[in-house]
Amino acid sequence: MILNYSFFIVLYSYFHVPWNKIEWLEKKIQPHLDLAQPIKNDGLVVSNVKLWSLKKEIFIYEYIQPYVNIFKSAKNHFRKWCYFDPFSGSGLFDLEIPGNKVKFPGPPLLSYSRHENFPFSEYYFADGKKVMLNH
Amino acid sequence: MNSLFPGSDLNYRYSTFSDSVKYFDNLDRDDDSVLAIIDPPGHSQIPFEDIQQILEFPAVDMFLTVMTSGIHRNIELSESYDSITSFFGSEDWAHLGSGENIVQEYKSKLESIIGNKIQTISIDMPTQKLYDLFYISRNNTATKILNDIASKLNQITLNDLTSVISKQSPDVKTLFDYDGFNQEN
Repeated sequence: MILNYSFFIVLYSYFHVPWNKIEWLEKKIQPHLDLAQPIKNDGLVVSNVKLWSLKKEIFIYEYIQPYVNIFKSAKNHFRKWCYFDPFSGSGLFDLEIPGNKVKFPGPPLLSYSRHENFPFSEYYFADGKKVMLNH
Repeated sequence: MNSLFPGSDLNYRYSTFSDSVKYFDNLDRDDDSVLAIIDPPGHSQIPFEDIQQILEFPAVDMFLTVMTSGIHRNIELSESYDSITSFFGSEDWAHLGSGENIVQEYKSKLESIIGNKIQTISIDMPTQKLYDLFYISRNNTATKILNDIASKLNQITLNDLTSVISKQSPDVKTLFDYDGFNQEN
């Protein structure tokens, strides 16, 4: 019995690759940076956002694919799956890190970037600040 | 913005949150589903009855930013009484003492609307919590996936974010890139 248990531990250690959070994070952040590059100098009005808010952007971005897959599936019988963002801003923000600002995409651009493969049937974007929409 | 979303129905407008919530009036409660991203600049922009209206929609998933530190900072200020009452949906918050307690009670109120547990990740500054990000779904598969992503994000520190962004972004200057650095040294 003990032998069997040890055997499985050895087998698990051999095949199990531990999660590398930095590699994971690099992989998750790169698409966001790529997305902002072509439009970063377009003169959009942007909000300033602190670095710790990146977790939120990653979370939303990562959930779009499974959300569309789940709610678009025939099993769930939905006619429409809609994206609703009433505080959308201009779609771009300035990420503040010490001594620097980096253009980073907000949720509207995140959903856009996945539109080709994971489209929503409708998108609703709004903002209470007119200046954010003047582009 | 419309050109970014070819072939889809896109609404992009100037609107208050309460007006935006009317969007749900035009949806079919049996046949439509919604992913709602509610990311206000502060608690005063999200009256409780509007959040309630969204959550009463049967197939809604929601990310909701709740500014815990902002509420805590403002609970002693008389001018914030109305905005916190509007956010909380009643004056019952006044005896709860701290921003953290108010947000926990707020979460319980939302849980009673959806009939399910609400999970959160905490977004922290180096020395204190800044806000809570609620993620909400009635779908079990979706909840499992959300929990999986959240468990990874909970292990990410501010140092991790700084090091990855500094390494990957072409826009981040190192100390030696600043014009003034060489002149001063």
